[in-house]
Amino acid sequence: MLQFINVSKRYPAGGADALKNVNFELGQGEMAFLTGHSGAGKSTLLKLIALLERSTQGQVMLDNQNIGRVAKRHVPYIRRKIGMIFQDHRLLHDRSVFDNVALPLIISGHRHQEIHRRVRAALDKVGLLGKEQRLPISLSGGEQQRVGIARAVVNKPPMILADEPTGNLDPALSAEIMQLFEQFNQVGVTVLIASHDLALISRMGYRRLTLANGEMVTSNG
Amino acid sequence: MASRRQNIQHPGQAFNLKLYIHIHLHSFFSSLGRLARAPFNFMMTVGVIAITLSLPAGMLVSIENLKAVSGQIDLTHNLSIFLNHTVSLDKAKELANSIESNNKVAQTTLIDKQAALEEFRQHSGFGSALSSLGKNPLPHVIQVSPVISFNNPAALKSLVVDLKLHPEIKLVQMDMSWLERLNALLHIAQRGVTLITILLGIAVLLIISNTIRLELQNRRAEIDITRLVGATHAFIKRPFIYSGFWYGLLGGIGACLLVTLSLWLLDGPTNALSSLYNSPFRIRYMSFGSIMFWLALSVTLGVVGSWIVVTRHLNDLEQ
Repeated sequence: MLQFINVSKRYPAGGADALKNVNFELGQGEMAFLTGHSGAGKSTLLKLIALLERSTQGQVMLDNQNIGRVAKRHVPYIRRKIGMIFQDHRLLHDRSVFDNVALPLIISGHRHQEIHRRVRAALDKVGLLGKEQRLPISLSGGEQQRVGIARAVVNKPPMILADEPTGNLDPALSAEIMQLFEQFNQVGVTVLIASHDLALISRMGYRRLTLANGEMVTSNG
Repeated sequence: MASRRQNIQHPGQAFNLKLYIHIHLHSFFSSLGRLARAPFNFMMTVGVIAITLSLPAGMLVSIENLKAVSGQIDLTHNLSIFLNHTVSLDKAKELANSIESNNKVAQTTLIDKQAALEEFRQHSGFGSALSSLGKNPLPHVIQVSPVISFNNPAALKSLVVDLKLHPEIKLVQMDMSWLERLNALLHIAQRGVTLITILLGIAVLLIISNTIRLELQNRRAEIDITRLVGATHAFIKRPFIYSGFWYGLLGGIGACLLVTLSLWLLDGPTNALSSLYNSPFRIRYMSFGSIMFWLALSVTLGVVGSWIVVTRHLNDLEQ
């Protein structure tokens, strides 16, 4: 599903490599955690997958396609294969919960009834059915994160990337969010979660990819 | 079109015209809705565009009105043909009839020199001075109303050349040089308005570009998020280009309203003036064609201005 081959990334301004010669592979339907100290390169690695950045060296393969070489106009279609979740939720604060979750479907041009059905299904899955017309600001942090998750999965992408999804949540809420990811993984979605909540990660016992100073130090269990 | 192109590369998503139209209608009306949510800002920009475009539009309609005034002078204007003194009244009548048969001539009127003298004697106050003259100093005069308009001086001159072929004719007076000058001035004015239209058109383009640029900045987060969830550039651009469309359309309508309002305010005084001159002249409002022209121009400027800014912005964002 996802494969990094000798990937390095250097930002033009920085000088030091954000990622150095990173190699790993994530199989179809696998779930893994990406850990490491702040600035180890976790966000950069996720950005390379979502094509928010391009690698300086090496190949990032998604579905056997070298996405580092994809033309600009194809980038949106790569992103539609990936559900992205962020620590700061990245919701549109002037739109209702429904409109936020519907966004990926509107973008890919689904029909009205289809959008309604899928948005309700996604909100049901994250336990927010009945709050469609609320504005994100009127929801708690945990609920806003669930809206972000609903938006990421509403398009049924084969892969979910989450960048510190529980960063602002208390342990109980964090565990609930992680359970959601497990549920998606159980229906075949590939999940990669960047997190530094080591206690939670070790309790869950999934494969762990550890970055230190831009290098992949462990990529097995 | 963008969707069709993408469709070729991604055959999984079949092209669906109904859906395509639906998506367009969605951004069409949602862009209007968004503008309506900040009515003050929206109306300010529309007002600036309207005033900017009303200047050249107003000037152009003024020139058209001036042309109409000079055109009406044509209809009442005549050539005066002064005959030689030796020409008899019968000969003059014969000549007047023959001139009238020329297809460039609408009508001729013969002014008998005796009648003219009487009239002059009565009205000029030189009665006694004229009596002291042994003989009538005035020649017979034929007034000719040409068919051709004075807007076509070349054709008129060829008529004058025709008339001068008659040996009885001493002088053809054609008081049209001032009209030629007026036409020349109107021509310059029209050039000037074209230049002003181009300059102010660029100004409108810049106003709309800048407005859209501010809107892009305000909606930066929204653009980032829609990009993240896989929006194509076409999708992100669409609402902004429709915003440009609305600015252009409403600015154009505003400009036409301003011009019409100004003409309406001038209508009363102009009628009073033209009735003093016994002229049938009435102010001409903007024609349907020119309204369409200004609307099309401002909509084009709106769409082009926003397209340039949005395209540049998105190209800067994407790696």
